[in-house]
Amino acid sequence: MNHTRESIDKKIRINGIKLSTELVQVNLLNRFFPQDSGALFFQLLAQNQINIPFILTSGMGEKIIGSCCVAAEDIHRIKKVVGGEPKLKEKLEFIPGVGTLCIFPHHSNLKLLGLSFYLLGKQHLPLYGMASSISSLTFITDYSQLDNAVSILLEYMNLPPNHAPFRPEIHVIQKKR
Amino acid sequence: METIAVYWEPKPKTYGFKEVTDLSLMNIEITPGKMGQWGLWLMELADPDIGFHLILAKYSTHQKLRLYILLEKFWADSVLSHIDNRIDLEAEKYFHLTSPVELISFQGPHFGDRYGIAYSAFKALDDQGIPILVAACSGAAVYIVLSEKKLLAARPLLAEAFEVPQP
Repeated sequence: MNHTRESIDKKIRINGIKLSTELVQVNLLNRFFPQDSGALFFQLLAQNQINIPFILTSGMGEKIIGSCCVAAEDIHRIKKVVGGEPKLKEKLEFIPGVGTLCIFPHHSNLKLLGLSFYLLGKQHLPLYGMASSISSLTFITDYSQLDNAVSILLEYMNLPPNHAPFRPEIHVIQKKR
Repeated sequence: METIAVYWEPKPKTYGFKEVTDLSLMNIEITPGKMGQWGLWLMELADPDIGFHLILAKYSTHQKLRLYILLEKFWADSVLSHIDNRIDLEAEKYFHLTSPVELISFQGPHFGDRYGIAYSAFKALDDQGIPILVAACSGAAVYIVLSEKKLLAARPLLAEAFEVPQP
């Protein structure tokens, strides 16, 4: 433990932090027809050309079988689409006003995850989900807390000189012709 | 300024499948109040250089977060004994290990910005009754964790749904 505490005193070098636009988290609740409802949800969003930039699922008999994030501007369309499906209506839960914070690189090592959990947990920042990707760790928290989360993490993480956390300014949208 | 680019593909293109077998999937229940403490324990595990293939955390109920760590089966025992020294696995029942499991992952151009990618992957497996243990779509990457010996059946189904570069 002392070794761990010593390593917290040294800042971890990271290459970047990326923040999302405002998102809404959708939780898929495991009630009655879990397999059907999950598949139907993804099918409806695909048919209606709605992107889901972040998805977590687990089929291990949990009350919440999946969590995903969608763009805040898509939420009215999503509610309309699922509203017409009685099988789905009662199985979704919406958490508005969330955002993602992406730190990279993780080097497949648990240190960055451990430090992030430690810092965010110590400051009681809500964590609605997280996942690793090829080189990054993405955390879902309140959109209004993203800047605060960055400040907390940067007390123990170093960005390269002249780097700052960024929000992508280019948005790619796919549409079928 | 809006720029419109037209791109056509018969099915979503990937940069190739990454397949890994002989993995262990750890599943740890964490109450939000203990997240900081778990962070310290995870940092201790980083010291012997234990690497992971995938990590995800999601709420399993409205009060409890489940942390999934996918790592080489080879490391499972040392991680278990590390955690065993800190929590009472028998009494707490909030730790679960599934082993061995298999992983197939892939990425493609702008996967994080495009609709229907996850649906194509899940449908390909679901139609043939291949259960997914856990899955994550984050950034441009898709990760699917399967039970032992399911990868062999899953690969051609996903290769049917997605374009895979040929060597």
